[in-house]
Formats: sequence, structure tokens, C-alpha cells
Amino acid sequence: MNFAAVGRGIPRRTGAIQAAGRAQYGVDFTLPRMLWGAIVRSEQSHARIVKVDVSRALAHPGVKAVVTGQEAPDGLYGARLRDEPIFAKDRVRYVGEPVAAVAAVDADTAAEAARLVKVEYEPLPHLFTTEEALREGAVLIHPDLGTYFHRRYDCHPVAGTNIASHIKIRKGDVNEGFARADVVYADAYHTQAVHCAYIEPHAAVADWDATGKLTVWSSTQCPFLVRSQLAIAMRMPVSRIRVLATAVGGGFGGKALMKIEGVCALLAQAAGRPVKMVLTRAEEFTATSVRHPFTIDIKTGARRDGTLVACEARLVIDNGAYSQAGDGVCWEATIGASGPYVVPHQKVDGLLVYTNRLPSGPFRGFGWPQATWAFEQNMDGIAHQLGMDPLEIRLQNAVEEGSISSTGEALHSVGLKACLQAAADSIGWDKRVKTPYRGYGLAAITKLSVPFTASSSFLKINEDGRVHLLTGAVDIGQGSDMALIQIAAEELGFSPDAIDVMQADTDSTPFDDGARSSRLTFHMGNAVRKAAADARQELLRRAADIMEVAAEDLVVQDGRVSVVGSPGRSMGIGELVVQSHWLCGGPILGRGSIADDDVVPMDPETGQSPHVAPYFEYGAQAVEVAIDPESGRVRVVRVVSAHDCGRAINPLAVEGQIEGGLAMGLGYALMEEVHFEEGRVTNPSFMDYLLPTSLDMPPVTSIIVEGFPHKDGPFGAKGVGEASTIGIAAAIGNAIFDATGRRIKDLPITWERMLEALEGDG
Amino acid sequence: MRPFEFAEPTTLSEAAALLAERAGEARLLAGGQSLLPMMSAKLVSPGLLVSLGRIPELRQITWENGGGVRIGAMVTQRTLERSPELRQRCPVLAYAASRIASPHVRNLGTLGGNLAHNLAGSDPPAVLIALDARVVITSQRGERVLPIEQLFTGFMETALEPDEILSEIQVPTPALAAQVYVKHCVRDVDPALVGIAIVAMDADGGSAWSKVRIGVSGVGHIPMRLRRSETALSGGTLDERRIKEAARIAMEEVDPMTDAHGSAEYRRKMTGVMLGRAVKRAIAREAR
Amino acid sequence: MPRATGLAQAVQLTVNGKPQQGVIEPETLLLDYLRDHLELTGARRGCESGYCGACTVLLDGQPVHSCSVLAVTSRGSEVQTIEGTDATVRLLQEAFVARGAIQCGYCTPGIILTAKALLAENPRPSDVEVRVAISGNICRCTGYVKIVEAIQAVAAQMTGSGTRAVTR
Repeated sequence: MNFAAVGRGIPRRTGAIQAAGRAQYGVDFTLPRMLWGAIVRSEQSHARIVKVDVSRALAHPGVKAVVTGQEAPDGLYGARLRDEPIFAKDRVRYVGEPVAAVAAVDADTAAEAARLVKVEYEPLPHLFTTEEALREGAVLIHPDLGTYFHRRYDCHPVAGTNIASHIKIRKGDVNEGFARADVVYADAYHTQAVHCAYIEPHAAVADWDATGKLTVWSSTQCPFLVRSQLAIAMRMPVSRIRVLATAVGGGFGGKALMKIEGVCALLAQAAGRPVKMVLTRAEEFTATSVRHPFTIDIKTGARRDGTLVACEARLVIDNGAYSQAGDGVCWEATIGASGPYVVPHQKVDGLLVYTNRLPSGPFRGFGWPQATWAFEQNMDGIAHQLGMDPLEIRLQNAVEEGSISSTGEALHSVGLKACLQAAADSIGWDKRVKTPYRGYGLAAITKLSVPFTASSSFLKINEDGRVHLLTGAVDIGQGSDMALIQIAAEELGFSPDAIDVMQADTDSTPFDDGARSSRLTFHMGNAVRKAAADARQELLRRAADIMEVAAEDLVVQDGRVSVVGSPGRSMGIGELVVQSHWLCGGPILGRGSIADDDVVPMDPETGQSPHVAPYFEYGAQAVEVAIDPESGRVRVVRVVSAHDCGRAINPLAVEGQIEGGLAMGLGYALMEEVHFEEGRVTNPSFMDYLLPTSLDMPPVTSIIVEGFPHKDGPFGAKGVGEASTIGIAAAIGNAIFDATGRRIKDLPITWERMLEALEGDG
Repeated sequence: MRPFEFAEPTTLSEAAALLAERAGEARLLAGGQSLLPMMSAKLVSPGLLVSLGRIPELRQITWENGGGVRIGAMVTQRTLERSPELRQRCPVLAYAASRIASPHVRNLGTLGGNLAHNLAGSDPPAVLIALDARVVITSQRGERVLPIEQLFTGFMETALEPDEILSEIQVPTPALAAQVYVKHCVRDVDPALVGIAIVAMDADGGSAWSKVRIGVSGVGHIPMRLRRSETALSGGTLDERRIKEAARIAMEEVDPMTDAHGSAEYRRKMTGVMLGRAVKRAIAREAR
Repeated sequence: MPRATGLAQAVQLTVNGKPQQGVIEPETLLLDYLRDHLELTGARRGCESGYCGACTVLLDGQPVHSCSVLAVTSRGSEVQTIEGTDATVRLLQEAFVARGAIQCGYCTPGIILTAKALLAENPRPSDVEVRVAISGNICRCTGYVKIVEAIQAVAAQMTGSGTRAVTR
């Protein structure tokens, strides 16, 4: 199909502004009379709050307000499970939890005054591991778990325990499955806590007007989610809260949910002046959120010919002290635990477990990097036992169009085999030569987009013929703005240059569930497409009226509306819009909405559903590694990353997502880890938290696989933002096995772990 | 950071006088690449900061007629890294300077500041120990010269008194049979997990070494000299067996630490591995 | 902005070709002087510890982390920020935009300035030389792939060698 706008690698509209340093991020946003906020944070992992003494802080020169949990509204907010207050009121559950906050004339004064707040604690027994937390008789971190609001069908807290959610897959009969298996491979894997490490820290400004309406400017991925969390936590109606997204200096999931906006709002309310807060890098590491660490026990069974028959897995997920979307991670990882393969018999249990350390939260990949680390290494384990080629066994079992998934769904738009083949071909899979300490590894990738989300769009055609797209979507760098422009342009028949995306503002742009879960191209893309179609229809109706022809005889092209076959009879769009303003009394406004109305909630006992999520994105990665046997140093020689995103609306942006996600995956695989000791983060800086630099990247080949369009996606498009982060660790793990015969089970693959594996018994 | 007074003396004696007067609450500012982040984190809050940045004599590099080079404390890593004379006459030191952090840091970071800060895993200390360098320490009370090994006294501690300024680094540059610095680290911008420098003179013209000196940084809290390993490598042909033995001794000599970059156990093992590599590369006349 | 403590000093320096004078508290970082006193907000804070490079400016032509420099020690120096466009910076900006080397954009000004300084002294850098030059700038979005391509493209452009095919 030939498209005019879709499929072109058009550069970002804001690129020039960003390159000139003129983008306005949260850290840059200021208001007159603004104060600065600082948070008083718990020094205890688990304790009752006996007393909070703010007298010295209040008396400190330059301090304008102090707020504590004692007087703050105590609404509990969360994603699917609402368990978190803005400030701790009766007890603290992690070192770093906000207990109080100070607003002062500058950031230094606020920080100093925060240190003057004295808190008296009565320590409670603490739990630092999921193992401790699961033990019979362990202290309950959330004794009121049974009373918390939670979404009913995909979040199952177990009251009276530290289990925040238990998700199950029961498909077929797993005992029968293993009985039929000729080979069984079972292993246990562990993944570490890592941080999103966006370079712009969390930043927000809150202000109240004289009517008691709250406005918050925030470096956020999801203004509407923040708005609703503020409303719930502060017990206010949503329409009395306005959230605007500034430019965002990186999010990756870490800025999807409310973090500091509630604190800013309460300080601003107390002070009667706007309050800004910017987290320090140390606070980012110690008091925001980390990727959920997993412990996975997984057993895979296959027949002699390589056909998978059974999978049994237990995922124990470290939630930290509060469920910032941990419920979603548990749900997704449980669904994904057996891999993107046809496995008729499955028994999977995902347990989300509270511990007394900072909350685990959303991070690109959302449970799938962890699950993939486990199931993809098991795949190679099975292949090895059978003497089968790792590519062959994957091609044999990989899902394709119509395959039945782990949740019993006949899958649609499945480009996995094509991705596997493309990645393998590119790395020269069938030409690989056995060299000591060099190896090749594969990983099959899939990711779902979280269900039951909604997106809406308004499209306004201005009198000059230029279009404003009003959406709640935030371009955090992933390129959603231009993708939406291209979709609108294609549908309208306008040039992309004539279309601008407006800033997300919960007052005036319609609802969107946020820039997360690889959802914007599909959901907002569809909403925009519908709005464009709606606007186009109205445009043609008005033109037909004014030009006195039938609407079907008109075509929109090159900024004009023309009669088909009579190019002389045309009107410029601007002219048309101006005329129609007077005739119809208003601008041309298109509306479009989409909600996942065909998704069916999973059965709570079996996890089965005919349509569990709007779509799955697929991919495959192939890596070559070289290992230094004396030092254990693992060098990734090159990476190929192939992705099925339905259709690449903007290939340039899709490549950017592939490459960036890959880099994150590399860091996750080889060097990143948030270290804890007694519930405290011990490496809260970029000196000791190791992010990949320009020198740490291997040569990368990105491949976009088209040919598997999604019937419901705009022009067949799905999402792609998370896939390349998901497979890398497993591909490297498999390559290491190929190179050395040793399997690494724990992430990250430090040189030391590699060396230990080489020195061990294998 | 907390407020402080700031002074920018233009002579060394002025700087020394300021320190003498305000010893205890004054700190010296060299390139600032280590100190300023610490002050921003409020780990250090001096009442008076004395910058050495406007003292021209501290930025000199002077080549002595009889061999050897005197490097002013405020010479930047960038200058050392790029100095054609240093690269020719003492390549191992130029190379060590080039391995520090990133170019941004090297553009301002100074050799004197680096030594005075004594961050574990820093590259120059290992090389300067191997080169038998000395540091000149200036104060109002006079001047003293210290063998570089004696400078490093503890974790981020040095032998400098509160009123003293490390003003110059004196590096002998005799004709060397071998000079090498091998750095093992996680990322190129990181401090060394193990940084081993070996310097040796010729013995009996060719395959044997005399006067071997080995400096190591990154392994323990303090850069150190590996005297027993030096002995193991001195004199006679260096074959595989002797190199292995020296590596084994080196592993015993060090006192490794654990941090976010690696464990003590791993550092100990790598000491042996990197020593072996350093010796082989030095024999092959490679400087890195 | 730090509070006035009576320890402030008069400072003169050149920023983007313009002489600037101010009375500055010593604890003012060069980064904060640029952002708060001169309202040049293209340099930003990311880590306060000299690793991320979002605060990069050119000090006497060399890239430095302005979060690790005091404004008072910069007296007499020439500072170039991203707001001080010149021909090379413009070419880099265009290339970064055209080649998709910008995602969130937070690291972009710092990397462009660093690249400008690199090309000024090394007009045809190798892939490794580019990567070493920007090793003090962390990008979390792009994986550096298109950033290196864009810098190489400008190098080719400036030395008149045409567009090179770059191995990725």
C-alpha cells in the first residue's frame, strides 16, 4: 500500500527546539512567587510513627509551610490496588517514605528545614526478602490489605498475608503434560532491582487558585493518571484538578504514576503559593521506584521432536512497600511466563509480595524482561538436551496467527517467526563457527499492551487550514507526536506539516491513559484516526454545501478541496474553513475515542480469556558474545534486533525505540543494579549505579518486520516501545551458554558472576 | 552546597598563608571534579575554599636536564594525556592520565587534586608509585618531599596536614626496559577495579628485569606497592612459571575491598590475572 | 539560587561572545549561574556528580561538566552554551534532528557542544574517537546509535567528504 504520510521517517517536530536547548522540562518550569519543597523521609524500614515534631522547621527562617501525614488527607491511591498515601500517617513501610514536607524560599532552605523535623518511631519487625515475607507468621506490612480498593478481575490480594496479588494460569493438565514429555528442563532464576534512570529528575510545580482548584505542571508520562491519583489521595473531584505535562526528559515508566505531585499540592495549599519540587539524583535512587526483582522457578517439558508440551512456573515478585503497578507486572509476567510458544499444558502462579523497601514500580518491559530471562534460557536448556538447534526449536514452537496463547486466546498479528528468522539471518546464524569463548544466542520476545485503557482525541481545523490535535498523549521522546501527526495527515489528506499536537492538559485535551505499555500508537493513533475521519467528513459536508456538489465528488489534496475530475473547481482549506465558520457558526472539530471494549477479563482461577489484551508486539534478538575466561568479562560483539510492530508509522522513530530499548536491556543484563543493605540503597549515584555509556554499546542492527498488520491498529500498527529491552539479557545468557556451556541464572551478568560460572562445575 | 568564603591567591606562599591562618576550616580547590560534587552533596562544607587555579607556577611542566620531570600540581589530566614530550619520554604516565573518567573530567581535573583526593581506583597513583615519584608538599612551615607511597594513608586520606599544599610531583624518567599500566574496570569511565603499573630497568641487556617497581590501585582502599611481587620478578628470565608465581604472590600481598563495582574476592583474583597480563605486555614493549 | 551571605564576589566572564558581569556567591555553580542569573536554561542538572553530562558547556573551548565548576573560578573565561549557536552547532543541530538522534532531548545540548569541540580539533574522528569524546554524556533514550551517526555525518559534511555510509 502506498501512503502519503504513514511510513515516512519524518523527524520530530520539536527536534529543533530540543537541540537549541529551549524545550521546557519540568525542571525549567517556574511561576512567580514560587516556593521550593523538600520531603522529610523515613529513616526506618518499618515502624509506627509515634510523634512528628515540626516546631523547629516551622521556626526556621524562610520556611513558609510544613505538612505532615497527621493533617494530610489520607486517601490511598495506586494503580489496580490502592494502598499508598501521599504521606505516611500511622506507620512507615520503607526507608525514604515521605513523612512530612517543607516549603521554603529556596531549595537549600527547604532541605535544611526538612532536617529539622524530628520524628519519633517505634520500630516494627521488618521484612527485606520475599522469602521472609511469605513465611507463616511474618509481620503484615499491610494489615488492612483486605479493605483496600482493587480492580476485581486482574488483581487478587490475599488478605491476612503479604501477598498483594496472586495471578494464576491453569491450562490443560500440567501433570499429564509432563507425563508425556520426553525431556524436562527445570531451573531457578533471579533478577535484580534496577532504576529507570531518566536523566531529568522528577519535577513538578503545584498551584491553587482562589476557587480551590489545583493545577499541577509535571514531568509526567500520564497526566490523566496523575490527576486521578491526586483526586483519590486528596479526596477531591477530578475536574477540580488540572494536570499539564511539561516536556519530559525521559520516563521509561518511572514517570507514569504520581510521585511528588501530591506533596507539592499539599505544600502549595498550606503555603498559599505555588510550590516546586525537583528530586535530587540520590532521592531518585532511594525513594522513587525500581524494576520488580523476580525469583522464577520454571519447568519446561518437551517431546523428543522438540514440541513443547508443558510449563510450570512460580514467579515470586518483590513489590517493595507499595504496589505502584506491581499488580500489573504480576499479571503480565504470569501471562508471559511460558514464553511466546504454543504450550498446551500450563500451571503458572505469580505472587506479588510486599517487602519493607522502596516500592517497585513500572519500568519499560513491565515484568517481561524478567519472565523472558527465565523462559528463554529454559528453551535453550531444552534444545541442548535434545541436541536441537536453538533457532529450530523456537521456529517449531513459536506462536503464529491463530495460535492459542497461554490464556487460551487465538492470537492475531503475530510476526514472531519472521522476526526470529530475520534476526538469525542477519547475524549469520547458519554460518556460525565454533570458537572458544565466543557464542551466539537468541531470544524470542513478546509483550502485551495493558487492557482496558482508553484514548480520545479532538481534531480542530483552524481558519488558516492548519490542524490542532488535542490529545492527552505525551511525547516523552518516543516519537508519539509525529506518529499521531502522520496518522491524522494520512486520514485527512493533509500534509503532516499542517498539523500540530497540543500540550497535554487534562482541562482541555480529552482523556488518555498515558504514554506507557507501548499503547499510544495503537490507542491514540486509532482515536486520532477516528477524529480525523470525523473532521474530514464534516469538512467535505461543508465544502459540498458551499461548492454545491455532492460530498462524494470531492477530494482533499495539497491543501485544497477539489471536485474530482475538475481541478479548476476547488477551494483552499483555509478559505473553506473561514467561510464555513460564518455559515455554520464554528470551527471544524473532529472527535474520536477508543476503549478496549472487546477485551475479556481473565478467569481468576484459570487465567483464560478469549481476548486478554488489545494486541501483542513481537520481536527477536540475536547476539554474539566474546568472553574473557581469565576475567569473566562478557563483551557483546554485536546485536541484531528484529521487531514486528504491525506497521511502522515512522520508521526513524521505531529504530530509535529499538536502539534505545536495547541499550537499556544491555545495562540490565550486564551492569545495572540497585544495591540494598538492610532496606537501604547503598549506591544512590551515577558513580556507583552503572549506566551504559557510548563506549559500552556494541554495533547494532535494527530490523523492522512488516507484513503482520493488526486488523484493529491504525493502518495496521501496534506498539514497539518495550520489546527491545525485553530480550537482550536472555539472548546474552543463551550466547554465554553457547560459548562456555555454563548457564548464568542471576542478573546482572557481572564479570565476577561469569568467572564464578566458569570456575564452577557448570 | 553551604556558603563559604572564597580566595584565589596568585602565589603559592599566599595560598600557604591562608591555609596557615584558617587551617581546619579551609580546603583547597584544584580542578574541582572530585571536591565540588562532594560539596554539592554536603559531605564536605569548608568555611573557606582556597583555589589554586591562578597560581601559574603550579601549572608548569619542567623537564630536568639530568632526566626526570617536575609536574605542577595544577597540571590537568588533559595536558598530561596530550603532552608530546610526556607521551614520548614517559608514555605510561600519559596513558594513565588518559584513562581517568571522561574527557569532560580530564579537561579540568588535575594531577595534584587527584592525588590529594585519593579516590580508590584512581589511575595515576599506581603509575607514580611504579615510577618512584615524589611529591613536594609546601606550607608556611616550609617544604618537605615525600615518596609518593607515603602520601596515601587511608581511605580518601593523605599525609597532607590541614595547612599543607601538594605543590609538585617529581617523576624520574630513566631509560626503562619496561613500563606498562593495565586497567581492569567495568566501564571505561569507571575507577579501576584493579590498576597495575609495572616499571623496570634492564638487567643483562634484554629479557631480564632489575629494579622492578609495581604500583596497584583500585584493589584496596589505598594505592600500594607490591614489594614481594617485585622481588619475584627481578633478575633472570621471566618465564611462564615465574610470572604465575609473581601473580600468586601479588594476590596475597593486596588487601582488597568490596564495593558496588566488585567484590574483594574478585579484586583479589583479578590482581593475579592483571599482573600476569601487565608483565607479558611489558615484555612485549606495550605500554598498556 | 543561593542566599546572599555577604561573601559574594564580582565576576566578569564572556558567555556566548557577550561580556557578562555579576556579583556572585562563591557557592554558585557555573551551571546555576548560567541558568538562574543569565536565564540560559539549555544546560541542565541530571546527577550533581559529574557523570551524566546534561550540564555540559564549553569552557574556553573545552567541554566540562558545569555542575562541577564554580562560577567564580570561571572569571576571565569564555563560556559557550547551546544558546550560543555557531555554524558547527547549527550543522550538528540539523543533523541530530534529521537523523533521529534526539528522543527526549535532555542530553542533546550537552552532546552537541561536546561534539562541536571534538570536531574543532579532530575533523574526521573515528567511531571510537567520537564515543570517547561523548563518554561523559549519558543518553538513556537512544543507545547512542543515531547520535554517533549524526556526528559522523557532520564531520563528513564539514570536511567535504560527502555523506559516509556508517556501520551500525
